Amino acid sequence: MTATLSISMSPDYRQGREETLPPRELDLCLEERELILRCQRGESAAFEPIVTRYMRRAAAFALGWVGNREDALDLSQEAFARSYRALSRFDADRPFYPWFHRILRNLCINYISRSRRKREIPLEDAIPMRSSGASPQEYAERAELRKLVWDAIALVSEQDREILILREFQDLSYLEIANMLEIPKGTVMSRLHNARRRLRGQINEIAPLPSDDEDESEED
Amino acid sequence: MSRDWNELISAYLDGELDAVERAEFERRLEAGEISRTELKEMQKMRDLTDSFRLQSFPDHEWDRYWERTYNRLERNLGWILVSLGAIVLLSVGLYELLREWLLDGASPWWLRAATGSLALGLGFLFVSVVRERLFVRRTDPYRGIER
Repeated sequence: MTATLSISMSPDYRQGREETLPPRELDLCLEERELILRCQRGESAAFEPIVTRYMRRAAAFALGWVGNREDALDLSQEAFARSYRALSRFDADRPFYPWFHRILRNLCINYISRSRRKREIPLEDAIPMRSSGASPQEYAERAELRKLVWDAIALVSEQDREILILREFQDLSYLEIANMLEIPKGTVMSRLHNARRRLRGQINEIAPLPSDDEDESEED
Repeated sequence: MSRDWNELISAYLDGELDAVERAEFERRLEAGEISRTELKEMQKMRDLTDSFRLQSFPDHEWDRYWERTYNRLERNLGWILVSLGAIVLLSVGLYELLREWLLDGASPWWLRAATGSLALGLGFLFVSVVRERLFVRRTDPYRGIER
C-alpha cells in the first residue's frame, strides 16, 4: 500500500512532490508531517527522529559557514531548539527542512557578524595525501590552496556562499538544493554558475591560479 | 525569453542537464555560441573545489546530539519560567518597598525622595529596555522566518 492511501494530506503538500520525490522520500515526508503534528501537540519526543535525520546535514552546513566544529554543533542545535519553539506557527503541510534551513542560515549569518573568534579552515583534502608520497612542499602548497579557497568563500556574498557550501562541500544535487532553498532548478543552475564565477574572481584577486598556458609550458 | 547558455556551463560540468539540454548545449558549444575559455576556467574551479571537502565530525558527537538539543529545549523553558517568576517577585517587592518608605512619615524626606528617585529611575530603565527589545523584534532577522 502506498503512503498516499495511508495518510490523508492536504493537496498543497502533494502538489509537485510526487514528480520530484522518489517514493521513499515521499514516505519520509509523510512520516515527518506526522512527527511535526505530534510535536505541535506538545510531544517533544517526536522531535528526536527529525533532529536525528537532519543533524549531520545541519552541522555540516553550519561548519561550512562558521569554520569551527564546536560552534557548528552549537549553532545547529540552537537552530533545532528555535525551530521547535516556533513549530506551533509552522504549517505541517510544508516540508520541514527548507524552513529549518532558513533559521540555521540566519543564525550562522548573525554569528559571523557578531563573533570575533578567528575562523578556522574547516576544509580537508577529498583524497588524503599519502604521508609517504607527498613532499613537505606539496603539503604546504595544498594547505595554502585550502586557505585560498576558504578565504575566497568568506569574501563572496551570503547568497553565493550558501549555494557554494551546499553544492561544493555538501554534494547536494541541484534538485536537492532547489527543494531546500525553495527555488526552481533553473535558478539553481544560474545562481551556482554565477557564484562560481565570483568565487573564481575572488581567488584571482587574492592569488591568481596558473592559467592553462602556464600549465602547458610547465609540462613541456 | 532567450536563455543564456553560458549560465548552464556549471550544470553541464556537474552532469545536471537532461539529455535534450545536454545535446543542445554541445551543439551550441560546437557552434561557438558558448565560450570555451569560460568552460575551461569553470572546469578548473570545479576541480579545485572538488579536491576539498568539509572536515567530518567525530562519531561521539552524534550520539549526544539529541540529548544536547533536548537539554537546550528544557533550558529555554526553564529560563522563561525563571524570568516570569523573577519579574513578578521583583515587582511585588519593589511595590512593597516603595509603599513602606514613601508612606512612612517617620523616615526623613530626603530618604524618601532618594528612594522615589531610585524607583523612578529603575522604572525608566525597565521601560527603555522593553522598548529596545520591541524595536529589536521589529528588525530582528529571525522574526520573518519563525512562522
